[in-house]
Amino acid sequence: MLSEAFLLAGSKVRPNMAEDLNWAVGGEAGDGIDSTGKIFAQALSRAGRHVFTSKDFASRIRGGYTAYKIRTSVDNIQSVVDRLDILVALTQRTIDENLDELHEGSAIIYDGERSWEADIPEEMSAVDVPLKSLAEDAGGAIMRNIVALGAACEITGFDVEYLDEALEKRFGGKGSKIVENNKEAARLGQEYVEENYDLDLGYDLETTDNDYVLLNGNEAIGMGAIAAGCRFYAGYPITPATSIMEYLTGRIEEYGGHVVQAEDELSAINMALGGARAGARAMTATSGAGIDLMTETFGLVATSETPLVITDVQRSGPSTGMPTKQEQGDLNMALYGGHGEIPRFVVTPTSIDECFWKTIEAFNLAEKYQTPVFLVSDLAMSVTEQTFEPDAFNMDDVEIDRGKLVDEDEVDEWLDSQGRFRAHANTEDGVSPRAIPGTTDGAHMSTGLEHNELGRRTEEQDVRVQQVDKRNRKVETAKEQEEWDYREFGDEDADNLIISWGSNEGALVEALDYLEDDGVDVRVISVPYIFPRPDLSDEIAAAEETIVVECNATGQFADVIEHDVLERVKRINKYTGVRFKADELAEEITEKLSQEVPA
Amino acid sequence: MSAFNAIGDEREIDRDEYTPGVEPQPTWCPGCGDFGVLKALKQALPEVGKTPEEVLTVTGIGCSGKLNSYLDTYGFHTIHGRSLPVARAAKLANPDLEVVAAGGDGDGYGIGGNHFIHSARENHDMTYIVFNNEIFGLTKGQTSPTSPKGHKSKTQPSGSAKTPLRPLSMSLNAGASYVARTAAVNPNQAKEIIKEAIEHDGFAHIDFLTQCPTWNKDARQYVPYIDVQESDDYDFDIHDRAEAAEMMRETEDVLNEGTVLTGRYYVEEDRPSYTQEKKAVGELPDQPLAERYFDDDTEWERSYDLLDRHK
Ligand SMILES: Cc1ncc(C[n+]2csc(CCOP(=O)(O)OP(=O)(O)O)c2C)c(N)n1
Ligand code: SF4
Ligand SMILES: [Mg+2]
Repeated sequence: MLSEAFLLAGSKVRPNMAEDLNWAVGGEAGDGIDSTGKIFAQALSRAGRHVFTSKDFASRIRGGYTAYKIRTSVDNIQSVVDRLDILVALTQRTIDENLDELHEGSAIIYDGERSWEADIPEEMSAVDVPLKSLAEDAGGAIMRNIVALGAACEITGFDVEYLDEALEKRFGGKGSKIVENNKEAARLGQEYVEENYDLDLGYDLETTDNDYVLLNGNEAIGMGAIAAGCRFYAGYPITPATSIMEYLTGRIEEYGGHVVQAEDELSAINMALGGARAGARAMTATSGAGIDLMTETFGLVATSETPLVITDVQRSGPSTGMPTKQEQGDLNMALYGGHGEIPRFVVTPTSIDECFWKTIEAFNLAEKYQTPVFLVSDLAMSVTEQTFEPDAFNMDDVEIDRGKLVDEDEVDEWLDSQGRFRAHANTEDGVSPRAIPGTTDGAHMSTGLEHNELGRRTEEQDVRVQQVDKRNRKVETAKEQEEWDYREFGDEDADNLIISWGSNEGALVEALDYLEDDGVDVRVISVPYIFPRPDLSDEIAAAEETIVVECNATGQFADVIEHDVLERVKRINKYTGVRFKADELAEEITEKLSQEVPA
Repeated sequence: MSAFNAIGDEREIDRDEYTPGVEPQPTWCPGCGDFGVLKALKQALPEVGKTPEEVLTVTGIGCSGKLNSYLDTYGFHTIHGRSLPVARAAKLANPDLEVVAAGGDGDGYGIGGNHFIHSARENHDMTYIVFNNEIFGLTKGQTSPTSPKGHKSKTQPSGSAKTPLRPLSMSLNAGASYVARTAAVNPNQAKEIIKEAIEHDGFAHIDFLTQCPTWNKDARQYVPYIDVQESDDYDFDIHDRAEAAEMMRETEDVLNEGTVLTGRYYVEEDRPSYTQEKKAVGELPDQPLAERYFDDDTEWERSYDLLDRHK
């Protein structure tokens, strides 16, 4: 549990509060919260400020509280914190839901002309702006959120002109009149506050000349897939994976690719498999119940030795669980899902820019080793928009390796004495040649049944053993040939070691600052590969204390680590459905370090 | 020219080329109808000018799923019920391939039924052969979706309470643009129907009656059979949906009374296939997806502009 004193001392009254602003807009689902937040985030990014966003939302489209939160600073930020400075509240519930994060310096923008009477704690600044009326003055009530953005600009000392470009980007397609009306709406909001309030909250948002890109984890995965040469995607909509499919649709075609919406996930993964067998780099992505349906096909992908990237954007389970909430509960599924023993790779990007790079790596691993690659991300990364230097996604650094794909000339090297193609040739490195349908002399069978080198079914014991060993040998080869490094932060020589996987990295990196302030030395190891994975024995042996941090209840990665090093570790598990926040995580780490290691 | 050199190859094709050196002899039971499908397909493929290497046969699981083990093409033996998604995606990725999917009545009308409906609806340009023996063959004789009402099996000892599924009507309603029924006992008709199905531009579904003398104890050999096009007793227009529907219903009804009707039931020639629809709206490139970057030396297109959109 977090101590009240820490929250006040540690986070809410941080010295750089004026520069490290936490802003949110909230209301009912269907109020346009998301696009309003996105416009503000984009304006901040255009102004050369870093942005890190998060969302509170219900899985209903209409009704239910939803909020878009932005943390912004000139410094790089990669986590949310437990503090809210400026809140645009379209409903009372928005205020109530955020009471824990609001503080005495907070300002709440609301529309006093609306039917509800705002109940705002006295110590905060209540900024009543007639959002709807001013929007009507600008050309339509629909723009009331934009009026609020203008008001927020005035309160934070952020030039309203920065909104213009974001408004152009958002509404440009709807004609210049709409764009102009929105700009006007923003100005009316800004002027209203300027004329009617004399607030001095100390904000004066600095801007820089930096040119950032703003994107979320699913966009990074989609962009990575296209950059990696993925030309076939099959999927079935499910939150929070759908936005990968939506990103690819309309973009992949420009690169000669195609997206299909299948009738279900059974079909989606089998379609991706069919596309891959026909020679296209292929991917499917899903979440929750969708990955359960897909499990059926994991084994066929592996035994038929077909390259396939299977993306799981984890959400809270089991069953339908909490569809719009964060969890890292699918690690065991990715490692062990499917009957029989399935050679596979499990790659777990640890940040949004890494979602891009690890996607590219996943495609290369899939083709080099002709086996399924699980790209496991999560809801928190999928909905968070973050700013980066464009160089973080330098397309010139993208490399593509299609492995042992053979053409009509190379096929000949792989024929048996009777001229038959050995699609599952028992090679030293375990990797066999791959001939695509349509290649002369390459015709062969492939099957989910155990088979011989020619892909013909067999139950002969020695052939069975040979093929199982061959497939597993690919993983051994990959272990030797590829790099399976972890990412490291903090003090390398610290006595305290924190291990994490997936999206917790950002919160941990920021938690280091808080811990340092409190005099706690920590080394953070963030693991982007769960299978194969880096050997952490030496690191754990060198540390006095090891804590594994993850967003699940049972500690799936901690179990794996304990199994690897045959030693107990401490665990921090969060399964509320909300991602870790830097400040609360720092507090929890401090507390955990003082406790006994479990027996 | 395709990047895949077997595609569009105009050479003479010998029927024997389709017989694999390994497993030349199928392991089906003597008298099994599955032999009839294999034979008809082996005859049809060279006659439509396809070399083994431009053909991809995708099968499900069952006795029927062994089809491509005995056929020397690019073959993929998948999972029970899942041949269609694999097959239609391969066709999308490389429309120049000749794609034939096949499986049993349990495979295609039961566990894979949803895929059947949607593949037909989407009108993918491919051929789908269902070996309909009205039984689960491989698993030794359980009731299948097409087993007649009252049919007794180990899992339905007092007889099936379910009316059999209507494969032809279902196919028509789902949206297949070519629907036919043939029987293993009628090899000439079978071969001709397979050829037509392959040449048809759209989803061609063949319900292929294949007797299972081993497990279907009520097994009819599907003789005598009647070709509805040749018999004077039947007269309907295969291009007319309503007339086709009526003929299909009758065919399905009388099968369980012992009258075996076969032939072409429905043909819709000008309905665009999925590929054609998608190409028309610019969502599928003219150059097959699979050909892009097939060549190792190809410069990969860098996706700079994707990033610019995030500024
Ligand atoms: C998911 C799954 N469930 C069950 C089976 C067992 N199984 C194999 S074939 C088959 C039914 C075969 O019947 P049918 O599709 O009509 O093919 P046939 O053998 O008659 O040609 C079943 C139930 C399986 N292979 N996979
Ligand atoms: S069990 Fe029936 S369907 Fe299977 S091979 Fe024997 S006869 Fe043919
Ligand atoms: Mg059957």
